[in-house]
Amino acid sequence: MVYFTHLLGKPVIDSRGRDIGVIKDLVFIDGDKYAEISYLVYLSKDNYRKKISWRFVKELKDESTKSKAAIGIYLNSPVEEINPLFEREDEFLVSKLIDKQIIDVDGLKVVRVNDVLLGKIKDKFSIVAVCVGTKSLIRRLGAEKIMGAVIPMAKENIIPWESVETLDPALQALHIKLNKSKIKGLHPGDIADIMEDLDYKSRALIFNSLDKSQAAKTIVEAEPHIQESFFKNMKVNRILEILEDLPTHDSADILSMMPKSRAAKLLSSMRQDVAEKIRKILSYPEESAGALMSTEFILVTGDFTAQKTINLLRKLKPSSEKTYHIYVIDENKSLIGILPIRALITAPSHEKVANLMKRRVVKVRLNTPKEEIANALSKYNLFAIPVVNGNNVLQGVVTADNVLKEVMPRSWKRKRYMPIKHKRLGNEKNI
Amino acid sequence: MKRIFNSGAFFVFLSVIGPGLITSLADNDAGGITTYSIAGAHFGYSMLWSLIPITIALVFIQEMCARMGVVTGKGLADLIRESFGLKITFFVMIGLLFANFFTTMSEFAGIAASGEIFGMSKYVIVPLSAALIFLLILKSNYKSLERVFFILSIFYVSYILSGFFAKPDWGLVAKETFAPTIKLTTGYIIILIGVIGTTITPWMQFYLQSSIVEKGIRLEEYKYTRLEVIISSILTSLVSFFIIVAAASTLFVNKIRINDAADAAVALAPLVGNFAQSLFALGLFAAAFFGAFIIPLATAFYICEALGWESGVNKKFKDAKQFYVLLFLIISIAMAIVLIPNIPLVKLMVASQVINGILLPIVLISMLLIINNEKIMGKYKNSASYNIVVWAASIIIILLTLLMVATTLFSGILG
Repeated sequence: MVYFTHLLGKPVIDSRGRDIGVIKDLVFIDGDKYAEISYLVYLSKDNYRKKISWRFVKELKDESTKSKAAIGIYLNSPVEEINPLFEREDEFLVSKLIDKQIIDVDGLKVVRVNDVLLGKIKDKFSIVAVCVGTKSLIRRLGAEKIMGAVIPMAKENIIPWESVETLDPALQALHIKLNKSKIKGLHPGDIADIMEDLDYKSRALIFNSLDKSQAAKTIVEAEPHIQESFFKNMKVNRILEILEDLPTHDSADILSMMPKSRAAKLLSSMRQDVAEKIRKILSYPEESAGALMSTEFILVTGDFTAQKTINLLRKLKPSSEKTYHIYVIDENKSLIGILPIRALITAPSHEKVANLMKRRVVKVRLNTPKEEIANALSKYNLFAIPVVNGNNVLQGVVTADNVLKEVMPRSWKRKRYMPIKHKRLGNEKNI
Repeated sequence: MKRIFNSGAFFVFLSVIGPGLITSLADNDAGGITTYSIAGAHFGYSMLWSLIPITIALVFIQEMCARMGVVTGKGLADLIRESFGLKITFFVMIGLLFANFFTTMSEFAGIAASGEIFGMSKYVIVPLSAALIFLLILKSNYKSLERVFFILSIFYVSYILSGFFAKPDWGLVAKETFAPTIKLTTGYIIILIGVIGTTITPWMQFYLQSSIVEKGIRLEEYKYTRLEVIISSILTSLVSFFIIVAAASTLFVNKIRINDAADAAVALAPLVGNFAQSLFALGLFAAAFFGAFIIPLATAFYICEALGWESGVNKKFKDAKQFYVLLFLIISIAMAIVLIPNIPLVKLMVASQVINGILLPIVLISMLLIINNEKIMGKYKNSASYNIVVWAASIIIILLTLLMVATTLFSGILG
């Protein structure tokens, strides 16, 4: 293993022992788990930047090698037989990673690269990891000996290449093209947290690598000022696409934070039915049941059989938050009962819904404030609570997580939840 | 939906009112007010003219920061790290840490001085203010901070009022501003450099750019930001102008010499009445408190960002140790030093100016190199004529500050 910054400026020596120049950079080919080094870039004696394929490298000697030969890179051929090439514009240079920000996909944060760790993997010289810890910072300042005594607990903190997502536009473009953006595997809530730590250009870069529904979910999870900056910098078409993909109460939430004129403009160019629903939600008082509720739910009538209801569910394939309960209405569309999923799947298939449902329904009105809803959810141990209008017609459903978001004390945000991960191999230990 | 107070929202809250305005107002901190008071008391109206070229330089330099922020979406600390590597960044950050530490100290000294005018012991008001600052940083939310800031900024008006209460000779003021007769003595040059040094500081460049980035201003909106930068720079200079006028028309006319802003406030009382004194002292307190709140917080942010440490008051201590330790150390040590009996605060303030003076050339040159880098700025890099103005201004500022550093090092501290 060798640090990239240790290699810089070291001599390149050909097979006849001639010093042909100093190491300036390395070219790599990006890969999922590690990135293979393809070329060595050096400054020749006549002051040209040239590159040599890595297969001409015989040996690499750094401070750790206990050999008598001088430190440097040793080639296996004389320079005349190698024919060094000139660099191309579109190559990925290791130096472009140094001092730049990257996303630690595993640790879920944005960090700055102090150094790059290189090593042989399956006989190929590759980027193994990036170093982001204070120890690598001290090493680059050349103050290892002094600072080592002062701050002995300074951490190495390396991030394996497989957990690194770069913010380099060219590399990102490649990742999107090859569909291997590492960000995509993350939960939208975690992506939103990472966005918080990025500048707006990088935000846009990462955001554009997400597909429509993931982008929409990320927006919902993001802090208001991040949402604002997204919509400020996004094309109208993409905004519309995302807003139409979101549950209506989330779209309404986001629109309510925009300047009135902009929201109105967006609404008017949206699909008519979606726009109508959003307008309705926007008309309810803030933080009341009407503003918090989701308007997507599953309705059946009392004469449905259990089997028919299950068939309906199979056909609709509703998302998880829609399937806490199935709501039962009569011919006047009045809410008469709730059918818990558990009751449905344990019932004989011919049983009528009317006999399975719970008739005593805990419900709230459109203008019920969030605090009261929270109390009801807690008192009756519910995941979701139906919202009805004056005629007892179901208008929407407020889920516990939506209320929780609103009633949580703001100071709790400081206690940000970090997903529990297994300790990374080789991390935080000295190498 | 309400915002919470976190690293992003911290700047967002400030940018609601406008990054340019807040940077400019924070620029007139305790050290600034002291320097302007001394300038007025010792040299009368004869330094007023200098505010015009200083304002022009300030506008140009601030505009560059604003433009870099809008075009790159990155803070100045980020850009320096990415353009010049770790070593230079580290040096700049260490310099910034020391300079801002001394500046924070001068803010606490300002709090102490203004408290004493109102008969409050510094052993009460300084720790109380520090505690309040901690509380504000850690516990408050967006809304309450906005209110605190709003109240504080109103106090700047008190200086403009003081200027009027002092009943200056407006004809002479106008003449000295636009058609000055300049007598260059050593003392005059030193104070002149001091005025430049407290108006164009290293930290405000970092600060302005970050808050513009956090506001997420788009290129299309940039013209407003530029306008705001121009207006706020003029506003800053206007406040400086009235402080000099107030001091000149009372203290200078009556041949009273002062050492700091509190002296000025005390000396004002018999000349123009207790009300003017209170106004002046209140303004000093507000400015010092604002500075003592914003400078440590901003410093901790930049250092952590540049060195890749986690930062933000929304993080747990465990996750952002360096940030919290820096923040705590800057505030508490600065506070503690100010509380040491008989500490020569004036000398400490001079030391802070020296460090700022060494740092400023590095920051200005970095800025100019970055903003002329086509890879970073694209077509928004400086035009040739713009470059002439800015380089000329920067070179003059750099020469003058180096002159100040040299003179203070050889006479001020040692002598």
